[in-house]
Amino acid sequence: MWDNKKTNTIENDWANSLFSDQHFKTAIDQSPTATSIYNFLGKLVYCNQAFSRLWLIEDSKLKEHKSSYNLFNDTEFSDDIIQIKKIFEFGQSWKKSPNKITRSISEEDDLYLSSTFFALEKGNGRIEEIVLIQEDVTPLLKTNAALRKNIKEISVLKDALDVSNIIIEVDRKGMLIRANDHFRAISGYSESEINSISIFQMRSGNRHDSMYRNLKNTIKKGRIWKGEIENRSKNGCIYWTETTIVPLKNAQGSVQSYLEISSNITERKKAEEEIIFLNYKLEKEVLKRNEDIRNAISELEAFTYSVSHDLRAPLRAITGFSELLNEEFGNELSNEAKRYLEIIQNGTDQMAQLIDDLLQFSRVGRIELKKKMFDPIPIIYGIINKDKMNPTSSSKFIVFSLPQIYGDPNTLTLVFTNLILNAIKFSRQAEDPQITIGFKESDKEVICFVKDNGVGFDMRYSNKLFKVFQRLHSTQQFEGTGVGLAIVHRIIVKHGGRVWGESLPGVETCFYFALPHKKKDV
Amino acid sequence: MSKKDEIILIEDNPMDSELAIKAFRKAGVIGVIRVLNDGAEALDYFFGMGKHQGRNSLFIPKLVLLDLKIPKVNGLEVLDLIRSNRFTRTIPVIIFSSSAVSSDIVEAYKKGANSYLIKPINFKEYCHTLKLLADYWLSFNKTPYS
Repeated sequence: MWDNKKTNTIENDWANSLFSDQHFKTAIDQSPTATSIYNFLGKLVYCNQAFSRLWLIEDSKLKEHKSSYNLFNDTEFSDDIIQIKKIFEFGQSWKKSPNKITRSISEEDDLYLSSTFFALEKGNGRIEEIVLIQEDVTPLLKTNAALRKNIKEISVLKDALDVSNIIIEVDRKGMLIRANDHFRAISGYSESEINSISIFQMRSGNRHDSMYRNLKNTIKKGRIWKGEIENRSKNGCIYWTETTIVPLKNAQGSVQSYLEISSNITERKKAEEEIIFLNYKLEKEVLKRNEDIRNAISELEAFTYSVSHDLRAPLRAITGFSELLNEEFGNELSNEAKRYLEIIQNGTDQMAQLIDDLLQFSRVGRIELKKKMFDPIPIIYGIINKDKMNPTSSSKFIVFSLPQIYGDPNTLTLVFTNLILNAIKFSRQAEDPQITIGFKESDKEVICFVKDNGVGFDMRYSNKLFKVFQRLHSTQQFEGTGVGLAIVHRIIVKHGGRVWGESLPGVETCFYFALPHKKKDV
Repeated sequence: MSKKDEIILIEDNPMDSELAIKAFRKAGVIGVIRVLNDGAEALDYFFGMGKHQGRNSLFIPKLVLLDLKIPKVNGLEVLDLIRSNRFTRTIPVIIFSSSAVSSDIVEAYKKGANSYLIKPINFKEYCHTLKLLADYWLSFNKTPYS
């Protein structure tokens, strides 16, 4: 029912003249579409509630708005006056394309309106009023814009995918449904052949059973599979692809077809295969080289051993027969001849020592270390006590407590023997020869040292200390063959340790060797 | 020890064998000292073959000194063959070698050597070693045939 009180802001006379049917008027009033009516002067003669809401007109301001507003003065329609006037004249309707309307200062209130004018004909055919229906099309436009953007993005992606990837769609039986240009280029199949080839024709046929089993099981369950596939083109060429297979499901959720997106990785595969081949070749070469080196080393050692060994026999003959000469014909020999014999004896003694040392040096190279934790103290005292039995020795010994050390006791005994005997030898001429044996320990290693107050060595030649047959003193000064420290070096290096010497000649000379700790059992 | 007792010296180096004979004589050894020049000759001798065909292989030497590094059949092989024959397996065999390599020593004992001596280079030591050897093996030691 039409309620006067509720609509008292509306000019009832006008309205009544316009809407002969009150029910119809009520319907228009309540319509969600903003509807307004103007006379030929452009004056607003009617507007419904939706119109007020659209233009944010409060009820109290409605009357004022109606009296002041003129369609022909509205800047919104300033370009459209001719069109609007045409409607009055010819009775056509006209739809203005949506334009942006600023309702208030807030941008959020901006909206897009679609305005439709149509003539309101009186019974006599005259047109005195026009109706304006305005619709807020903002949400529609926004949706459209978003859709267009999405479509554009997708098509860009599709183009990019098409250019870079091989894309095929396969039905559930494995027959190709469609394929992109890239696929045709790489596989050699023509457009017309696409629908007659099956996925199984495309695979290389080389056995990758477990991979195919996994593929089948995954996509059967509707899951995405990713992996590398070996394919065969129409003319039999092998090409590798890195492939993603996506099962495409229908609305009911069952798999309809499979989309295969692949990139060509043939070059990469070739490179990988080449690397594997090169590595294999390299490995073989390294193995061969290692074996060559091992052979060379063992040959060299066998040689050294054999030479040292075979040198002993003639040496024995020289010493033996010169001794026999002296014993059996001594009284027939002049003193000078006896002196010569003595020189021969000394020479052979020295050579015998040299051979013994060389033999030991060679043996140390081949010996297999049997590492264990052991106490070095008894070994050290064994060496010291032997020296104490020598009546000419005047060395004093200070032995600090040593920890258990981890290494091969047999070869490390040689190390201690060489270092201690060296210390005794080179401090022999000191006034008060003193030898100190001790150790330091760090996180990584145990460092043992043997210190003496003997002649020492010139630090400038310290790099020559551990070289075989290298001597820093003359044989007249100190006897020796120059093998002792080389043996020490060989043994310590074999243990994975380090050895070095420091000297302040005449004051203090110290030899150190460091052995790594036993590795903890993992 | 008597003049009939025989010492076998298996040694290819004539200087070495002469030195050994000298040293034994200096030590007062009066028996036969027979030198066999290589492993093959040693085997011929022990088993009465080749040049030693017809030798009574039941005649057992008092002592054998065996060098390891000898031509044709090496010392360890000779020892092995002596030990695997029932007539010769009880002969006292002493290795007399330049080698101080532990593997040689171990192998020699494994194959049944009775002793292992390293030839000293110094002649005085050499004589001393052979004197001790002769005193022990030829005088004190009892063999199955003495």
